[in-house]
Amino acid sequence: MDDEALLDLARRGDREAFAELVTRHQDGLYTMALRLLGRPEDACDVVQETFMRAYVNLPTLRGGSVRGWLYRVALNAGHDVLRRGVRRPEDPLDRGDGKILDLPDPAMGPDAVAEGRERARVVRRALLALPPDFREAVVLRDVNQLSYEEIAEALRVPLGTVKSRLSRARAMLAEALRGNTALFAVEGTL
Amino acid sequence: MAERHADPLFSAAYDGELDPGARRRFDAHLEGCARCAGAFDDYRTALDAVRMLPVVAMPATVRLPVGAPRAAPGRAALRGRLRDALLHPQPVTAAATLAAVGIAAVVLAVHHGGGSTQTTTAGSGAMAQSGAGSGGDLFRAPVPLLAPIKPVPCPVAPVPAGAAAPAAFAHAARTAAATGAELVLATPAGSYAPGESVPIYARLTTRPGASGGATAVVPCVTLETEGSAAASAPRVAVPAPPGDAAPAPANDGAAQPTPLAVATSGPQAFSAGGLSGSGRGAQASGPLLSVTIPPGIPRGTVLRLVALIPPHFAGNPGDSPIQVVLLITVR
Repeated sequence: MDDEALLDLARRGDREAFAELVTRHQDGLYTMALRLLGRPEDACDVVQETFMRAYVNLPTLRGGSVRGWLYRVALNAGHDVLRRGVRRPEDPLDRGDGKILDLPDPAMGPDAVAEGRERARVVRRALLALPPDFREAVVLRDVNQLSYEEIAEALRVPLGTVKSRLSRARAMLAEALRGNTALFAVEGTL
Repeated sequence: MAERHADPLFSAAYDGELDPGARRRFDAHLEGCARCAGAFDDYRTALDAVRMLPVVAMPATVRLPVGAPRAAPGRAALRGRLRDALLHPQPVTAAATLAAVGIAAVVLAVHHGGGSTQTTTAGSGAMAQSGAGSGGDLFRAPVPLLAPIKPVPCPVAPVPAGAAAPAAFAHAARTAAATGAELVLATPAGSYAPGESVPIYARLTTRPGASGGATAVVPCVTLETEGSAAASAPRVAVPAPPGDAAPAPANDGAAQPTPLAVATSGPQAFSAGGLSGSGRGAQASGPLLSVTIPPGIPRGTVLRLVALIPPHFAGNPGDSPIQVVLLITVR
C-alpha cells in the first residue's frame, strides 16, 4: 500500500495506517534531522514533533506528496528546535555521541574503521558548515534522496529554486571537501 | 561551452537531468577541458561521499496521542465560517450572531498569537506539542491530547559485565537477540501499591555467561499503561522469542501504551517490594533502577515495565530494537 493510501486511511481514523507511515519514514526523518542539526537528541525531538504535528493535522492535509509533506513538517519542527535552543548545529562526534550511532562494520579492520570515521566526520562537518537553506537542499537530495518535486514541496519553493539552490549548495560542499577527495576515493560505507 | 567552464551544469549532470543534447555537449567539453574534467571528478567524489552517509535508525520510540486523529479548525476555515455568517446570515437572533462572531474572534486571536505559542502536555518534558511552524497551512493547533507524550527516552548506560541479578528479583522476563545478547528485566515482586517504589534489575549482556570480554548496558526502562481497556485484563509477561525482538510500541496500533514514568538509577532506599537483605547488598554494584508507581492508579491495573535497547545503540548493532516487557499488577 502506498503512502497516499495509508494517509487516506489514517485521515479516517485508522491508527495502524498512521503507525505504518511512522515506521516507513521515521528513520529517514531522523537522519535528515541529524544531518541538519547535528545533535541526536534534537533529531529525536524533531521526529517526535513531526509525527505529533502530522497526526494532529491529518484532517487538514490536502494534496501533495506524503513524503514531501512530512519532510516539510520536519523542517519546520527543526527550525523551532533551533529557535528554542538558540544554538548552532554541532557534530555529534565532537561529544562522543557518534560512537553510539555510527557502529562500524565488524568485518572492517581497525584502520578501515578509523578511516571510515574520519571520512564521515569530514562530510558531516562540511554539511553542518553550509548555510541552512543550502544544507537543507543538499541533505534532502543527497542524504534522503528526495525528488526535486518532493524537495520543492518540503521547502515550499518553486522547482527552479530547488535546482539553483541545490546547484549552489553542492558547489559549496564540493569546494569544502576538495582537499579530502583522496580520503573519499575508497570503496565502502561511511 | 568551449569558451566557458561547465561548472553550472555539474549539479544537473550529476543527477542525470541534462537532456541528451546538453549531455553530449557537456561530455565533449569535459574531454577537451582538463580543468572541468578534474573539477567534475572532485564534485562527483564529494557528493558520492555525502550519499554514502548511512541512514540512521530513529533511536527512540515515536509516541502518538491516544485516539483517532483530529484537528481543530484552521484559521482559514474559521475565517470562512465568519465570512459565511456575515454574508449569509441565518434566521437567528442578533444576540446569537454576535455571540458566534465573538467566539470566532477569540479563536482567531488565539491563532494569530502565532509563532511562539506552544502547548506543553502533561508529562511531556522537553517535548512540546505545537503546530507546524512558520508559514505552513498546518496551523498551531491547541488540541488537547488524551495521553501524555513521553520525552526522548533515557540513555542506555554501560555497566561492568559479569554481575548476576540478585536472588530476590524473582519476577523476571528475558529475551535473547539475534546477536546473542540477552536482555533481562526483573523485579522482586509482581504486584505493587500506588506510591510504592519498584526496584528493577535491567541489563543487556552481549555475551551471556561469559566471564571475560562481555559488555553490558543498562537499558532505558519505562513504566507504561497500555492506555486502553485491554490494560485491565489480566495478562502474563510474554518475552519475545529468541532472535525476534518485540516491535516498538509505536506500532501497536490502537493499544498505544501510555508512559507513566521513566526508571532512574542511583542508590534508592527500597523500602518495599520484598527485597531481601542480600538484594540490598547488591544495589551498589548492580544495574539497579527504580520507578515509583504513580498514586491514584486503581487496584488490579496491569502496568508494563518496558526495557528497550534502541537499534544501533551500544550492545545492539542491529536494525531492530531489543525489548522485553514485564507486567506488574497494582495492588
